[in-house]
Amino acid sequence: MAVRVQFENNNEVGVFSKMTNSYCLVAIGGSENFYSVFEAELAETIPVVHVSVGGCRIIGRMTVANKNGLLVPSSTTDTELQHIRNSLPDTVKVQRVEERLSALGNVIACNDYVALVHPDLDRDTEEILADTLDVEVFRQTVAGNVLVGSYTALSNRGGLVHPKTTIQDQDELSSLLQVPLVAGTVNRGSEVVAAGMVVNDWCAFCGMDTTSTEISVIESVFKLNDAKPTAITSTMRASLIDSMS
Amino acid sequence: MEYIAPENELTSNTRVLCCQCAVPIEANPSNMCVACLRAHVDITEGIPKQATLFFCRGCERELLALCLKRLRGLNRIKLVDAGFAWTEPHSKRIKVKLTVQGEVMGGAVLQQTFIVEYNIQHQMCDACHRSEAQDYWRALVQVRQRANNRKTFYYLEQLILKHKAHENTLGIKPNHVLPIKCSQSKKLISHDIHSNIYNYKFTFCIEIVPLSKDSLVCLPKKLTNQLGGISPVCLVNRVTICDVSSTVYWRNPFLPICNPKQLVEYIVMDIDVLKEHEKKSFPGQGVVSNKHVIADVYNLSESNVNDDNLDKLDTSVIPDVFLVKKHYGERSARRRARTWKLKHMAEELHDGLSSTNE
Repeated sequence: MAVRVQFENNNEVGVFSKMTNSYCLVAIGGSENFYSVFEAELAETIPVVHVSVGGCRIIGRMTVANKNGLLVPSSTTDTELQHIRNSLPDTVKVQRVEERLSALGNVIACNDYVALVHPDLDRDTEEILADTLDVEVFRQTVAGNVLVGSYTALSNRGGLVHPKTTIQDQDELSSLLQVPLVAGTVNRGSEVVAAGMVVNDWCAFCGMDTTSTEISVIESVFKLNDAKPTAITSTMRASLIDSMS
Repeated sequence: MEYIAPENELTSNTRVLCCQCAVPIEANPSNMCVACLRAHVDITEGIPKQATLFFCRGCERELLALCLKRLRGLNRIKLVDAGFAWTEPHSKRIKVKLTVQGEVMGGAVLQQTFIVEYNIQHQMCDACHRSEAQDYWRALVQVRQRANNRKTFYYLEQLILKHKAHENTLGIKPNHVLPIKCSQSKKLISHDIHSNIYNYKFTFCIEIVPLSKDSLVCLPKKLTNQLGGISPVCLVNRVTICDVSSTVYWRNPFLPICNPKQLVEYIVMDIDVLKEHEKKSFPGQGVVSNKHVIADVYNLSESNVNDDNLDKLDTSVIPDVFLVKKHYGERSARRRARTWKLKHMAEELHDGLSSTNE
């Protein structure tokens, strides 16, 4: 299920939120509208938490997260870190990293098993990343861009990459990630896909400008449809055809 | 030999779905197909599709340039083509078909063709209005020289051409930095009593001294005294403002007694070498020639001269012959030797002017 949402008239929802399979972080905004949309969709399953990082609202670009852990940049204050630790489930490891490329969300793209990182990322950060998030790390670029975190939206079921990513690159990345990838856009043709949407294994939020075509691409590549037409066409198909013949 | 197809040419082009209509397209900056992009953005937005064109019948103008000038907002985009579309001849409408290119949504270039309709309104321009009211010149300068050659005017013509003064005039008529006499008159055309503005037509009459280079003059007695008692019969070396200024001249005017047309060609047959102390000298004599072979000479005894100042002189003092200058042969031959062509103003101006000039 993909939901359209706006943060204070801004369509770049991936900038102001971070969603994983075990928790969701939302920036502190002027109104609670943005938070309410996430809350309405996710409250039954995972905690939705108001968070700021170093006094900034752009938490989606500053942090990197999956169900196992959360990395925050060195600009994060102790109070903020304490608040995050208190709000998240105990199984989630929260770690602060000293990294020159402090917008961790822009330089790292990850799901629960694999992370793609900026080629110039520090060795130590790479180690901390592998330990905290429990992922395998690959240094990669997407369509010639080093900011893999900005141009890749990943879940455990699929991934959306920069529209100019070549077929070979897509094949290579999807063999590393072991999930199907597709080149696409959000927010009526925006190519910074990770800034325009957040996604986990059963739910996605994207900017208000996102067209129905883009929504359908997102829903199909991340397999968000509960109707599961694949089951009908694959497993049930044989028996159906048998019974009708 | 086998043809080897270039590898990986097509595979590098990723296809994404157009974000509006889901047609597979190659990724472009806006990630939309051309049709959607065209429907979504209008690059001609801000350019008026209708305009009014004020048109003066009296003026010839570049019509298309005029039409395009009327359109605001054309500088934001690139104009590729413009042309007229057919309209009914008496409809007072002009249709211009424009093709423009514009950059949209981060780098995609879109081309669009549209038609602008102009509504023509006739209006007289300021210049035509004045000329129609017979009121289009402010000042008239007359230049007069009462002399029998036109050397000075040719010189004046070259000066005017040099300073491009004729470009702002309405007309120059040859009725044919010199000593001059200037008189001015003005005629009131209209005036505005409320703002104290008077509209005059000015006429300047400029009279040039009737002398030219190499003409022979006889100075009045008063002037010879003033100039240090020089010989009264003098040759004009140059017409300019120096020893005899214009005020001095017009106080005691004198006329030429012989003009260059009256020069007679003499041949020097024999030369007596004079020693330095035997040479005669007199006040204001100028440079003495020592190599005249053939000479131009005024023969004063044979010419008929009417001049009051000359009549007053003692005839024994006046020489019969005045040596003027060396003669350089045929004038036409010299003119042919000149490699440049003199520009003339009158012909180039008078071709375009009609009799309405008065």
